[in-house]
Amino acid sequence: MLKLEKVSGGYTKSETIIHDVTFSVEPGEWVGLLGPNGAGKSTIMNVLLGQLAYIEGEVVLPAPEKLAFIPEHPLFFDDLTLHEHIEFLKAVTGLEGTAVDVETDRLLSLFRLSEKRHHYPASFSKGMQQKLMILLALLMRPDLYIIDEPFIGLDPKAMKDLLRELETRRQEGAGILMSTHVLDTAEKICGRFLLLNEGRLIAEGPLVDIQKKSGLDGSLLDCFEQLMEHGR
Amino acid sequence: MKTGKRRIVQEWAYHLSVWRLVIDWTVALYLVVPAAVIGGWHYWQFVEGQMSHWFSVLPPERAVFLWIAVIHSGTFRWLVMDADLLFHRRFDEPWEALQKTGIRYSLFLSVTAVLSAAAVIVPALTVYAGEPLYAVLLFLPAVLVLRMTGQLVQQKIDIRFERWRRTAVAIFCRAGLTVPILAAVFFGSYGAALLFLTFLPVLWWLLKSRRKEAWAFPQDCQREAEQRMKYSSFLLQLSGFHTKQKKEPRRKPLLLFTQSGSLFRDMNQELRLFEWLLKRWLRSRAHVFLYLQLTVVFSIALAAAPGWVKWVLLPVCSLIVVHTTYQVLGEAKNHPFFQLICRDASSLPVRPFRRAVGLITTPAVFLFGFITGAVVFQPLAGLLLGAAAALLLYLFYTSSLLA
Repeated sequence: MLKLEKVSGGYTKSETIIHDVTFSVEPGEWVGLLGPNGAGKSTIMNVLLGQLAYIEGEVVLPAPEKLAFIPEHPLFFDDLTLHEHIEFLKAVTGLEGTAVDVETDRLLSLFRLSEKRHHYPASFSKGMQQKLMILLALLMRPDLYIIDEPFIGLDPKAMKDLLRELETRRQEGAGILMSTHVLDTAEKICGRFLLLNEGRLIAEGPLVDIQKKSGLDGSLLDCFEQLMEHGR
Repeated sequence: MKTGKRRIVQEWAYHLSVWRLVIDWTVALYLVVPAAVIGGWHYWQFVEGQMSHWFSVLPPERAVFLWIAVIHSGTFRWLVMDADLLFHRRFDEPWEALQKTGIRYSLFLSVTAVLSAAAVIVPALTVYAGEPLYAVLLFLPAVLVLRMTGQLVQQKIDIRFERWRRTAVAIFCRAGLTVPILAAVFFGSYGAALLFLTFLPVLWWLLKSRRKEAWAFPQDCQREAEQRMKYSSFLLQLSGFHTKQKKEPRRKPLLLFTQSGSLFRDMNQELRLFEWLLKRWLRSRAHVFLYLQLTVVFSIALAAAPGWVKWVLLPVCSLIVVHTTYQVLGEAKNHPFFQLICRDASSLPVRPFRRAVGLITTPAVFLFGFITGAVVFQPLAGLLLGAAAALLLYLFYTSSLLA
């Protein structure tokens, strides 16, 4: 579904940010992309979105319509209402039918956005804008979700609802790659982890493998700290 | 140096740095020095009562309108910044010191503005209109108090009202401040003294009230940020930067499709795209103004152009309007949200774009045809030519131009 094979790259030719990164995300897998600030997580996101100027190595992605991206900073049109954003999504992706309308109403209700349907997202709070991004991605029903820091600005209920929805999609066969700093949540939901440091993949696998590599029996955070320390 | 004073110095240092950067002083000196010499000479003649003939035909009493301009200019400065939340805002002593420096600075700016206006008004009324000097000078404190009162009233309106209510209340209050000065001019020096004595306690109360409005701190910071850029922003704008901060975003569409209403009953992908394009265009003030500007300018050009030039201009103007509209609509594809949702814009149907351009530009093209036909032949011929031009262009555009 998603595969990176010895990928190196950066924003300028002379400055490489990620080095020989190799990983994959299979259908029905929830993979956590972890690392300290400046480790190269956002650069990998940009590789996946085709926004990196210089890339070496092999990148295999699903077709554009089979991929949904939830960015860290919400994006929207200033002059369209929430409803019109959904209509735009339908116009661009060709989503049609009663089932889509029912799903739209359900998600709007779930994320408590029904009342704001005819309002401009520009007037929303950060959390509500983030909910709009999530709602649009869920409506697309893609094969692969790429999510960058999804929990910033979300209230606890919205966070729980988002996780439940994504888990359902994962069970239906979708792959999820999620970049986050919320390690205790990642530990509970992700089946596999990718630990990045200074642009290199320093550990990969389920929690058991990460624990084995770090030599600790503790939480993901403890192993993360140990591996970072060891890597210095 | 105290915080407030340091901020004033930094502000003017910033202005100076921008002026140095943007203005070519070698060239500017060739303009500034002669302007200062000629302007100084004329002002000296003006004060001496020997002003040139063109000025002497103006009634000198009109100079009092400068007072009105002064009253409605500028804003009260509080010298606050967002970062004050960390320290100044939390402790009474530094916060009050900052506020007092702001009040003194605002007073200084207002005194400067009033004296600058007085430099024109005093000679105009005493030398040319024969008014006694004391009567004119009595207006100075009254105008000063009214100016500062007006500034504080405007701030109170800005923080308490939104959108059209804010505009309506501001117009009402501004008119309320203009009437007393006109009345004072009518009643002379006694009127000015009465005005000063009436508005001084109002100003005092407004100052005390504004100082306590802690909840308006974010708005005060935003206004101060704009003011800090004020004397440099026009130069930066000339250099291509957008310096004006966007105020609070609108919650819902203003007039059109307020409930996100649809143009079409039975929607499909093409109609959704068509509607999206029309809505974005209609709600963009810049896009609509550009279209109207082009339509008006080209209409005037077509009416004024001599003979055969009209027949050349008609297709050229039409194509410019059509092409510009197409470019404007196509810009949406560069929007980050568009690229987030649609990673392959080439897969989208072209027909909605064509239809939107055709629909938007048809009235303009009809008008161009009508004006050309009406000026060359007669109005009926104009109607026919307009209809033919619009139909031809619509068919041409929707069928082949973008294929």
